[in-house]
Amino acid sequence: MDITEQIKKHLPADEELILVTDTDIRADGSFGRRWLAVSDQRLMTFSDDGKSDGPDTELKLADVKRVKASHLVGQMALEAETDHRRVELLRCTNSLSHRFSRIAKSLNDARKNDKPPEFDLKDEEERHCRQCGRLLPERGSFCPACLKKRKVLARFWKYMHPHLRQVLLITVLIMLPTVTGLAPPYLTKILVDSVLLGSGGAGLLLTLVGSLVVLAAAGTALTVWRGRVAAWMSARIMHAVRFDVYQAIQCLSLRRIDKTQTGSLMSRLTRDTQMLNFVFTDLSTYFIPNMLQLVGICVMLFVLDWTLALLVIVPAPAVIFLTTTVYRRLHGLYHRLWQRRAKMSARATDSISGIRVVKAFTQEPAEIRRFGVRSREVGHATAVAQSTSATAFPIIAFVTTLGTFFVWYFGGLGVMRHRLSLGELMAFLGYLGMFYGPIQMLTRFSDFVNRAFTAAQRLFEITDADQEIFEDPDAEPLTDPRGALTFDNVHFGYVKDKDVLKGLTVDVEPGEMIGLVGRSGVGKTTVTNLICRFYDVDEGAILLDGVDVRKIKLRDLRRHIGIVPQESFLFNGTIAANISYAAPDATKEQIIRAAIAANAHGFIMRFPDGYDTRVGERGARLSGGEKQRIAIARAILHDPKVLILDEATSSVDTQTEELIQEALAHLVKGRTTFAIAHRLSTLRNANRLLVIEDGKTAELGTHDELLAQKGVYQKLVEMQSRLSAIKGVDG
Amino acid sequence: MPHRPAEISVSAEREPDYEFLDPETLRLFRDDSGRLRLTIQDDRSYLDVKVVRAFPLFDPDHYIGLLNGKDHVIGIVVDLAALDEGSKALADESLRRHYFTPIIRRIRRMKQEFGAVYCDVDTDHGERHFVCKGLRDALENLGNGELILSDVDGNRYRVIDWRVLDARSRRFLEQVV
Repeated sequence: MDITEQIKKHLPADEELILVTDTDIRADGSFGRRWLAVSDQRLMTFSDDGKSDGPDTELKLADVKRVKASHLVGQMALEAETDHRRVELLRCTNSLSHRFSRIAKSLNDARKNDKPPEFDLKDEEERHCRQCGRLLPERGSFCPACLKKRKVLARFWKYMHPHLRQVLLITVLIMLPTVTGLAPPYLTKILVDSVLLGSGGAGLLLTLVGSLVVLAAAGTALTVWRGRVAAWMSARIMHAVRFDVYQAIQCLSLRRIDKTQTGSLMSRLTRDTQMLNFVFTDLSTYFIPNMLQLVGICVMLFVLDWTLALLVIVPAPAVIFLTTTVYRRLHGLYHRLWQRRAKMSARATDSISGIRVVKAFTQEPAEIRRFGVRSREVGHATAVAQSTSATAFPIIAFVTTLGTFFVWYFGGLGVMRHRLSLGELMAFLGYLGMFYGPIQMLTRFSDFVNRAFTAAQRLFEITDADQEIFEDPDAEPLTDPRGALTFDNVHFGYVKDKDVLKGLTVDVEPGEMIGLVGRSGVGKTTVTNLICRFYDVDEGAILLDGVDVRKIKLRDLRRHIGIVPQESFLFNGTIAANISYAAPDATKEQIIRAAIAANAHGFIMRFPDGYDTRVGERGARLSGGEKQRIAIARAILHDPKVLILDEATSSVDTQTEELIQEALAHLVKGRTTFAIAHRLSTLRNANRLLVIEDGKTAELGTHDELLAQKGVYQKLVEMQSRLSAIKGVDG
Repeated sequence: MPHRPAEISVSAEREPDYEFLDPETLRLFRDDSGRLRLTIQDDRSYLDVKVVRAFPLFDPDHYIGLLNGKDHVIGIVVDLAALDEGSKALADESLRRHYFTPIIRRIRRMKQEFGAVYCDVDTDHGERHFVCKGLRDALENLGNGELILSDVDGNRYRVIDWRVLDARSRRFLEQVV
């Protein structure tokens, strides 16, 4: 019997069951199913698939004042408050927290509107792959497992097929040297038997030696040719892969970038593509030729003398076994080494880029010590890995040569008893020398394929998985917006457990300047991040001119939004290039006009190189105020309809602040502006101030209106004036 | 010479909210409605108290913070063991509820595919199947064999000491630790 039927048994006939849904934590806290049922009269939870005598908890909807979804760490609790009690209905892991938050909201809405609750859980995003049932790494996204089967080979093909002719050429070039490589031992046999021991004469000797020379030369030529073709082809393919990966990195969502270290993205770009390159070149220059040769040698060995051939095969299993074990172990060791090395360089990068802080706090010895620890770890891992390979390979080589001793002995006996000619023995030994190399290669095959796949895995993870915020296929282009912005009940959190914005609602007129006010961490920067769509809202919507920003083409949206960030980031290049970053076609006159409006022209002209002054890495050669004004000039030239100013004057002296304020006054004219500033005085030009508290609009109005309200804003102003009074005394 | 950190004294006058509390003076109990209440002897009382960890990863048993109903800090208790038995039991219960971090006892299967890692594990809360996005980002090594795994939904799982798990579980972890 299905769960709904089971639950209905516990209800009076006239009661309508509205919702039955499951959680993943049982009443005793273990993982497992438990049910929440909501009827038009009551709330109930059931264990044991509803088979038990009755519900674990039961509450009359009429008694429930509020249902609260409490986010805990790693789980959520759904609690119901009645007049005098708080009842925990159920818990769920974070995997289901979204569902139960929505249920709580529906229940509370129903209570507020005095209607029976309604639930709409249909658009809950899929957690499992529709094809294979696997858990999805990201809700509603693609299933990597199903993708893998279908697409990886296709993906390799995508990169191969523009070079189809070279691929074919390489295939032929691989085959031919195999033939030229197999012939010499056989010619040796003829040479020994027919010329040296027989009666072939000097003429045959010359022919044979000549053939050997020609074959060797041809083999060399073919190998060179193959290597050159492969080098060019793989370089082109690698460029294509690297290019795609870089393109993907540029389009990564910020949520993902927040989580990933820059270094690890860099290593994908350089290291993994390099790995893929090895695979391409190794495959064509060593691997396939060796395999073909192995087959050829086996045939030749058995043709020459099948009993001896069997003897040769005897040590082969030992060689295969040894090589496999050794490689497995070595792979682990080298992987460890690689991880430690990555850690070490991360440590070094971190402390070298923060060298000023290190020196200021005289922590050089500590940093040196920490690096020393990492370096010693790397040293240890290197030593272990290398000494293991230094031990293993000579032993493998020895085991490999065992076959030769067998052949010398039994082959020697054969020659003495005239069962085998000397030439045959020589040829046999020749082939044998070529036999074990490819065997070792073969044992590395799985390792080889694995390496290719892990590298490909990491690369395709970037190219596929994390494309930026999805653009709606029906997204509208945006031309010439008016600049009206609306936040409609916006909920958002960077991490799932913790909402920063909890239902922010505000209407902003075109051209209006809004000052964002609130304690630090209250979500002021978050508001601006959401306007730019660096992140998407979790609930609610942000509308530009009445259109949901998610329905606007991302390029167009950002085209009309400008930012003057807290930390003005300048790229390593000239001042002119930095000003015209968003508008590379800008004329020199436009650049100068923008700089003038930004109060930057004066100091730029005082530089010996003027607008051609190089700013250094991250603009290191300019002062904070200079960088800021260049950033303002950049925004002016970008000419956005919506402007975001993030604490633009927090780190400069009063005089520079005046200059910047003036520049900003030019900039905000006619643009919808969101300004964040800690110093409330810098918001004096704002039309209205938006005070955010607890993720919501606490107060909204002009400076005077808010003061009159005697609320949060008034308190903040008071505190600040006290602070500046102290400053006044100090200064 | 390494610098000794300054003794930072938090004066009760300026920041009454961040005191280190004297466990002797504290009493936790449940009121009639089932909420946790805290009284500080001869001083004050708080409704609907929450118990949280200052170092949930590296020192979960010490520096326990007490928050009031509005999530503002009441103070910190260095060691819960110094509380009276009843209060300690309630604090422990509250912590268990607040931090749901099942302990992995055995790894049945751990498969890495395309950056995603599918895990089948036995925990002290029962069996669980979850998926992580890339072990490098999902795994935090706390040292001494202790690991924290975070899945894509932000659920956390703890391994107390991976070096003493069974051989099969160890094999899954060896590569990544």
